Amino acid sequence: MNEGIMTVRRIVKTRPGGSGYRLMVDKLVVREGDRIALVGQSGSGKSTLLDMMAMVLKPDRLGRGGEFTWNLDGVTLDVWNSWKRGGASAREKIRRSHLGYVLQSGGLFPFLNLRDNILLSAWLKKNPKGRRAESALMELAAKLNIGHLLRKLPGNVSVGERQRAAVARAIIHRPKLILADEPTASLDPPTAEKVMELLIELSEGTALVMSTHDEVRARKFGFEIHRIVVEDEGPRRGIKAMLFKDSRLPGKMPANIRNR
Amino acid sequence: MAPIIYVSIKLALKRYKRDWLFAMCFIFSVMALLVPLLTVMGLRDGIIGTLSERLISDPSNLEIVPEGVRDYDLAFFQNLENDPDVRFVIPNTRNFAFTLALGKPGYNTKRVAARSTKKGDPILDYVEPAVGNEEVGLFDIYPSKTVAEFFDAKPGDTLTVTVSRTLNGYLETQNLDLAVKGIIPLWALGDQDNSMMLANLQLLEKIERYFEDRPVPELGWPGNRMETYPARYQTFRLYASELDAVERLRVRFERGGLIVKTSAKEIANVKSLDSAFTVVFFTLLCVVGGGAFASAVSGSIDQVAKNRKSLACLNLLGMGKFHLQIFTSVQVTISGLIAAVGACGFYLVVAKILNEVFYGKMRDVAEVCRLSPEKLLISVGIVVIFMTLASFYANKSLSDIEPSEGMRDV
Repeated sequence: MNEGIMTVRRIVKTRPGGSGYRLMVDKLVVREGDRIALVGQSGSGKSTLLDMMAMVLKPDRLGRGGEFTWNLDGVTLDVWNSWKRGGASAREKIRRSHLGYVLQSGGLFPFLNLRDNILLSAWLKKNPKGRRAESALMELAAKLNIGHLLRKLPGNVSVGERQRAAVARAIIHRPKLILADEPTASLDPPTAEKVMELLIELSEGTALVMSTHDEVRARKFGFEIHRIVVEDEGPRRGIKAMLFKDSRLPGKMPANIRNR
Repeated sequence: MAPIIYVSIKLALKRYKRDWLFAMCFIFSVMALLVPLLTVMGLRDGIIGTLSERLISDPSNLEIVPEGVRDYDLAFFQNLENDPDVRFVIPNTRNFAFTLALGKPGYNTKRVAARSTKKGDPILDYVEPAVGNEEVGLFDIYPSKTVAEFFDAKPGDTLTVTVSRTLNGYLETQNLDLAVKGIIPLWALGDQDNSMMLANLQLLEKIERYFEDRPVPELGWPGNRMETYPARYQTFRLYASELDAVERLRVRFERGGLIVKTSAKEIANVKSLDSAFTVVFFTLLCVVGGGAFASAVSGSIDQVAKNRKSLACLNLLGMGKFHLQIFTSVQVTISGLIAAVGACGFYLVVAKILNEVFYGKMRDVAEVCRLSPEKLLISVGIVVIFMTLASFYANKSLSDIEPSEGMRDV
């Protein structure tokens, strides 16, 4: 059953590296215009979950009744089965066309100036020569106040300016969903505030899923909090971390999950 | 698909522009391998090529001269004409020492050796002015430069041949006007007598018939011996189709009991030199090719390792492994192209220096080092293809790049 752009039910993933414990997502549905913040302690698996949502990391397994689907304009991609069938090109196409990314330190390419870094998303989505992308760039650059920096390389601008360019790159191709991995973690508070404001303003109507430690700011900007809870003493089958919507947060992991 | 390849190439070019210093190091390392290879190729083509051309361009080197006389019928020549090793063959008149008295008003008579010719004769390729591949008319002659100078004859002039025979103690004479169509340079004559001329075989046969007291009604010459017999010949003039064919024909003739004279020894010397250069060239090619491949592979692996995060991030943004491969390979290909073109430029400088240093020091070789533009172009193409293949091979390391690496940082 598809309820939104992306639906994840009962997927399990062993976190790569670190403690290697398993993360379980019981239910996460992303609809158009949603603002979802993934919070949790460091190493809890926020980025792992973002990787899975971006379809760059394969879940280990689906629990009973589980699903992992993308629903785009009435067409459903069964992501879980696409991994089995080697549907790399379908996943790549969704990443090019319907996903935007804001990474912790911008994720800009050092060999491209800000203009090309921003336009890259538009090039990858459609016709690289499109003029519409150019006018969208100018509009975004003006709003983000980086118009005067477009010819500069990422290494020659401040961290805040880089992050604003990253926001522009995530938005310019009008994606359905923006994934932001701690987008303000490396910024000072005033800059972080400004970048968040711009991200919220410019991504109006687009779903935004963000991992963050800054729960206060996330609440301030209207994000629905989803928390990854890690138990010190895990249940039998190694599942120590689970994602819960904050409003449904239980005191402990439910016994039915623990014994699954 | 196509626009993404376009993006891959576009990104590669932008990346290349930023990373020019590394690219220059790579380019110079490849050029250092290519310039000596091109130079050896140039020396091979310069020295061996010139010697071979000389051998080929001098028709006497392709000529096979039978020693002594034998009896040949027309079938013998028809077989040879169909032989792929034979470029041209023509029988000589029965009397090999066939000399005729040539004259021109105001000049003394000169006795010249008359040899038969026809369309396709290699010697006719070198007459002045060029006659092209025309049929040789019945009354056309091609005197050697020696004969032409004796009569101050030019193409278009007329020389008169006087044919005499003694019958029953009486001297009978016939005169025939012949048109000079071209002059044979002496160098094209090889071992032939310098005082000679080429004339239509049928004309020489008619003259021979007159000598033998047989009638030649076409020319209005009388004769008493009316009997006829099939055409027979005692010698011939034969040119091989190529240098290698000379030795093949020599062996075949000698197996058939016919001793022939050839330039096989000179040809063998050049071939031996050619083989030696070829061995040197291919040895160098293997060493240089291996080096260039290793250089391209290591350069590509280094590129992938250094840009792992960028490549992972591009993968995250939706560029597939194939497009990443294009992204990295284009950079190596551009370097290969610049290195190949640069190496050709350096080679031309080296060739010019070598040609000036050795000018006039090697007999028969005007340029010791030379490569045709086509060969230089082919070399550039091979290097570019080779580099691209090497980078594709090296880019196997792209397969373990995970786009999730790009989520972390670039």
